[in-house]
Amino acid sequence: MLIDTRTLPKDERTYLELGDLYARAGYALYKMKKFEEYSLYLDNKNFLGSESVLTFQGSRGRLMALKPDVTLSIVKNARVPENGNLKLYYRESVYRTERGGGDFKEINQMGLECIGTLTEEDVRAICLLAAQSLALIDGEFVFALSHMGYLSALLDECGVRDEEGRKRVTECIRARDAHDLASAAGEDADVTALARILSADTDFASVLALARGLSKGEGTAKAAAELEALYAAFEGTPYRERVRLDFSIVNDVDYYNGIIFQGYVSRVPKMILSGGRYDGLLTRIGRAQGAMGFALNLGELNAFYPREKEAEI
Amino acid sequence: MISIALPKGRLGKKAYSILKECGYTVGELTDESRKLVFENEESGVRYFLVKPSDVAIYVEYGAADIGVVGKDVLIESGADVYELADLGIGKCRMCVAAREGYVEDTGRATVVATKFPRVARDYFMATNREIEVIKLYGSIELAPLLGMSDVIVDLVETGTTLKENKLKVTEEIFPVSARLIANKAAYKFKEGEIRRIVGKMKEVTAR
Repeated sequence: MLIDTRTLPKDERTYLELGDLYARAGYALYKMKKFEEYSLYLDNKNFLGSESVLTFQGSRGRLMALKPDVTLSIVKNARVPENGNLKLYYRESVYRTERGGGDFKEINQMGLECIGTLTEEDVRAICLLAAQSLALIDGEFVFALSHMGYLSALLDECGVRDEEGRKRVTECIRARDAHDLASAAGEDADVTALARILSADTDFASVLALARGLSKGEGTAKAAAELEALYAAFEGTPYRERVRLDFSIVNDVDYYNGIIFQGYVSRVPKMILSGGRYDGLLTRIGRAQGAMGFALNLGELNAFYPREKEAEI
Repeated sequence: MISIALPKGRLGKKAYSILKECGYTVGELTDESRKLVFENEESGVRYFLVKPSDVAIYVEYGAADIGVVGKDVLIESGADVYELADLGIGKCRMCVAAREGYVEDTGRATVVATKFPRVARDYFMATNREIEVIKLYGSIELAPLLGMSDVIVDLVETGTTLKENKLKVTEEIFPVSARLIANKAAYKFKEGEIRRIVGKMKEVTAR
């Protein structure tokens, strides 16, 4: 029996289409258990961005947790070849609270991870796959890129070095709050460059030119060059005009070290895709490998794409 | 069309007068009427008048693209939104206040009465002080007078209410003013329009 996928709810259809896209790009489906030992999440709470984890008592007194995240499990459990890389995609439920607290929710995620030796070509291919994933959901999307290496080096160049100051400034960056930057950074720092970056629009070419102009060191210059090469990879694709450079996207610098990104579609009033390069996570668990991936939250798609409106897309 | 959430009351009126000067008018916007939505297709704006503490929620959930909210309410809500401008209106301070002559008993948890439990917890936690929070919705000054709390965490504008109740500011937590906030997704798709509004509002408030 053939099933007309157009009759499926939006989330189910998207799972099938994304699965097909990732399989064609050489990613293998990876299934995993719903729980892990709690210590995995406790040790990496900054990677999760939250301490809210649902725990329960396992056998032999071990404290277990329902997965709040998929990436940590894959990194811990998947066997990565010594040469080359491992490409996996998944469709899993994770259990966590929204940022800022509230009740626990079961969130249906789909995403992919590439772990091992990562070339520039791999990075570009993953970014293109992320943009393609958004395009599959809705042609009206925005794929916004940022670079943790650039932001981290710029904070150094601005003289924001102490941990508390960096934390406060990072909150300002995340909120595009240029007016509170100076007080957050402290008297010894000069945050003029950061304020200019945050006050700019997100047009890729103009923000990249600004980022290059504000660069005073090797770290920012190298990151800007990487962003330029990545943007060039979008040339000739139908997605180029939907790619933005948005330095308000920021993640934990201990885990994320390179390109990071977020994706939005026009009908959904919240971020639907997020990802980036997280070599730092592997370094922290003693592995000298690279890693990059992204995840899509698809559980709420049906609320914003009811079936009767499907025909309009 | 840009949707703007404004707080009912004095701050909302001030914010609307700035927006009116910027050309985003919908005629008379009054919170005395039962009407909650005011729209002008020509100037491309739609206003919602909502409870001050709800502005950040309307914006975070995308019901409004942008909104005007006090920094106090914004921090208390923990909303994940962009904070695009300090409008410099509705200025006051978030403070800890206590009865005149109050001396902290460091041998037990300090009892704090407040409308802002998150602000209070974060502030006292940062200085490693144990507190017990009593959430109130109004007349906060009464709590230490009746011995219900040791201190209060509340907004202080001129300090007159505190003085009249024989209370005094013991610590200042942060300065407060109205902020222009935006939904992160809406900003991605309406960046040009939102940046135009922000630019005009900054020009008006800088005068």
